[in-house]
Amino acid sequence: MRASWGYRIVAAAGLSLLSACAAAQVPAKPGSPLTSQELRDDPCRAYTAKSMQRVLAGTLKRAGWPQVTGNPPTSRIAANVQRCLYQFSPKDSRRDGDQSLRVYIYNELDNGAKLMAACRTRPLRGAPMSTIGDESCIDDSGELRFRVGDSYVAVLIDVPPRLQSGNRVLNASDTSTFTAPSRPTDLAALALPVARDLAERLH
Amino acid sequence: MIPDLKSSAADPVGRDAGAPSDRPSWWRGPRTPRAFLIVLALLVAAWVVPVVCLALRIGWILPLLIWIGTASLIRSGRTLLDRLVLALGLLVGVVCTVGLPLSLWSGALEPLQSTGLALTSLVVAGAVAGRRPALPVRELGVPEYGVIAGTLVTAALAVRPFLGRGFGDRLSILAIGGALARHFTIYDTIRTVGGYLFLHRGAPMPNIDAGYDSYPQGVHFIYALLANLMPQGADRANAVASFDLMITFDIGTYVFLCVATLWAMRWVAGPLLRGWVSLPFIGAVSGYLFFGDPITLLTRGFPSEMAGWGLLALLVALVIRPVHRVREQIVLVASLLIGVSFAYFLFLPFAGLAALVWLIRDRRTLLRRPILLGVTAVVCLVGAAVSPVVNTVYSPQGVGERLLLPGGITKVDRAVVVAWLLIALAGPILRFHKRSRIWRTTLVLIVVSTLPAAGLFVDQVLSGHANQTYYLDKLFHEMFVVTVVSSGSVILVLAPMLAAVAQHRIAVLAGATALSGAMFFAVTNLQYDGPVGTGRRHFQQKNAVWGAGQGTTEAIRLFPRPDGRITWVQLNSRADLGGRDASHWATLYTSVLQHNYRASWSVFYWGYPWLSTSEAETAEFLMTSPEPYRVLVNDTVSLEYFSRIKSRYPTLDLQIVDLRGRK
Repeated sequence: MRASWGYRIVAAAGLSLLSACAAAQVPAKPGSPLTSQELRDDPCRAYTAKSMQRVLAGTLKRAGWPQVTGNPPTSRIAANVQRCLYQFSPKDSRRDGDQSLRVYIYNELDNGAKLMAACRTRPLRGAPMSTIGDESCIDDSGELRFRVGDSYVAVLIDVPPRLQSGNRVLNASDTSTFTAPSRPTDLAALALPVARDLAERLH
Repeated sequence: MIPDLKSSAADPVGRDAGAPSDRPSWWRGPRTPRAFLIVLALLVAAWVVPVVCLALRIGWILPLLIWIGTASLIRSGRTLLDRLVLALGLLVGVVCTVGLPLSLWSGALEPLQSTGLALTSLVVAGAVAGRRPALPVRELGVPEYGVIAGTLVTAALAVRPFLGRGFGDRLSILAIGGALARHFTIYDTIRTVGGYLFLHRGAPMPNIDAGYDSYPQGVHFIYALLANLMPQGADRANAVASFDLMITFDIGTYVFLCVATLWAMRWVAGPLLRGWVSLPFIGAVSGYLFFGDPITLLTRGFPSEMAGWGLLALLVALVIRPVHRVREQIVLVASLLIGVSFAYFLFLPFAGLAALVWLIRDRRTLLRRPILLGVTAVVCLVGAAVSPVVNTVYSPQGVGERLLLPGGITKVDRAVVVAWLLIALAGPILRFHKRSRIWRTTLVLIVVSTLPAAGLFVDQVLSGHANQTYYLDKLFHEMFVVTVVSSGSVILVLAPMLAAVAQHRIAVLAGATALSGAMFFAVTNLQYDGPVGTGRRHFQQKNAVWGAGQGTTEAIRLFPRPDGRITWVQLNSRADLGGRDASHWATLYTSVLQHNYRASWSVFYWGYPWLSTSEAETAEFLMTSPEPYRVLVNDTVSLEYFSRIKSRYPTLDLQIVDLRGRK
């Protein structure tokens, strides 16, 4: 039995709609090109929690981190800056403690020149790195900044204190198998692969 | 006493009894020189009265005069209450439509021009239609008194928390959300530019954010007209007085919602709700209006939706049970459709479908008035299309995109949705076999109003976002309008019992009271841990964010006008912690009162109060801002927080205003 033209048109429209929906939901992958406009539309578009985890995997392993699991990223938006926050915690928190890791990506749009200049006044000493993007700098807190064209981006890794019940800092005796290094150079080393990947994609 | 405009032989509704005249047969206006003189005198009075009232600083009387004048020219409805409610619905649509040309006429929103024009229009309308003012003052029964009492009680409960308080505390009661601030920017800018914002896009609007100049502005336009008449609104640069007036108007709009819903429920139920039996049901619906979802429209700052709810309730009532005068019915439906569109066009698709149901059902009667129907339909289509078209063309986001946005709203309890549906459907379904036009139309409207909400709900459940979508709850509200207005039909369930115990009035009353009591408990949220915004929390002032109003008044006292710096009000909550509601809302309300919203919106979007904010994040925000900031602090932790940021970034242009120790 031959389908009528009406059915064909409806089926084609349905398929197009499905593929459009599917295309819209393709997760961002490390290494895939990204325009500054796409990043401006959604600061969390660059990575899903999983793809960010893949970018960080090698560095975390070298730093002795246990296997981590991430929540979906959350964004904060203003006219002058946007932020995407990724949070990771050990997969087996009973064995490895509740040490968490936060990755902040700040999309400073074209407003980051003052921060870049401030970074140059207090760079992180002993931070070996080649230039990322068109210009880059790591400040003394370990925050890594770079510029691609007119777009400024900053990557900050934060290792918050280990807490119990949400607000009590654990004593040294409470530690389990892992306590993360938190020196600025360690944090900058973690931020480096993310910044490199992002800068390459934004080019 | 005002004599008849045409002849002494006219009947009580102003129809000519066949007096000889040389005027053409279609002419219904004045026929005698004396009648012409009276019309002339009234036209003069239409301008003298506003001049006198404004000189005496009692301009607030004029809108009441216009309202009562309009009601006196309507002949539909049996009671004074019917006339007043219908007149209110009619006026909203007419004012929104007339607002289009008025917006292009410089100075038309001035008190004298606007009220003089309105009173002149009333005189002309009365003269052309051959109607003298008449109000059926004595025709009120128990249900009408019930509607009035229900409205007064809900109004009293809603108003009570605001009584005897200054602006700061009044603002605090409503500062549980930011919607009211953005509504203020529209209303206040309409007052400044003199008309609908989308007709003044070239004018400077520093208080209007992108896209808000195309938001439906009917309610804001009416607020602006009213504010211009009030003595407190005389100084348009006084933003605090202007905002305070808007809070009063907002409470008035909530009262309109209540009276429109109760009246519509009573109108639809018709003879079912007569005598004392009507009171428990009116009481139950009044209870819902205050203790259930509608009060959240006031506390959350949704004036447009409140007006849309009230107008839609009237429209639903008139579609289910039209007035007997066909011409008035046509004009009323058209006016209500335009009103809904200008007030809150999310309800317009359903309102349009409801009007279509009426057009199809009553086509034979309506087609006897082809010219009036055609002309009114054209005016209505054009008028109702303005808001959606303007919004679609000028808004930066698409309609579908906005429909799925999250936002601050008190979530509708899904069990209440089911309860209202069951209450409203029970009667019409039980009586379906009786082929009643009233109850079959009711059934159709309930189904039509439920489908969009149900569709979006299913879609959101499947995508896992059922609790995030803002407009899903708004569509539930639309469904509530229809189900609440139709809820009087629940008395049909009692029909067998009523027949059995008809001789025992006490038994009938007890049954009605029990049923309405069950209704009340099913649809209201009296428990203490209910969603924020319920009537109980509002009445006990547990919703209020007192620090927000205090912070706003302090900030606006120190910095009343924009001066090139954005004011960050970090008062009454710590900068480094979550739960910064007081400072968050104070910053927002200060910016709109400074007429500086467009430049300031980033600070409160960035600083959502439920998120803790690290110094690094705040520094990122401040250092990337093209505008310099000032921050007001009154606690040591916040002072040190900002001082550390400033010392880390010496190039940061940040003014820290230390208000510690100041009351």
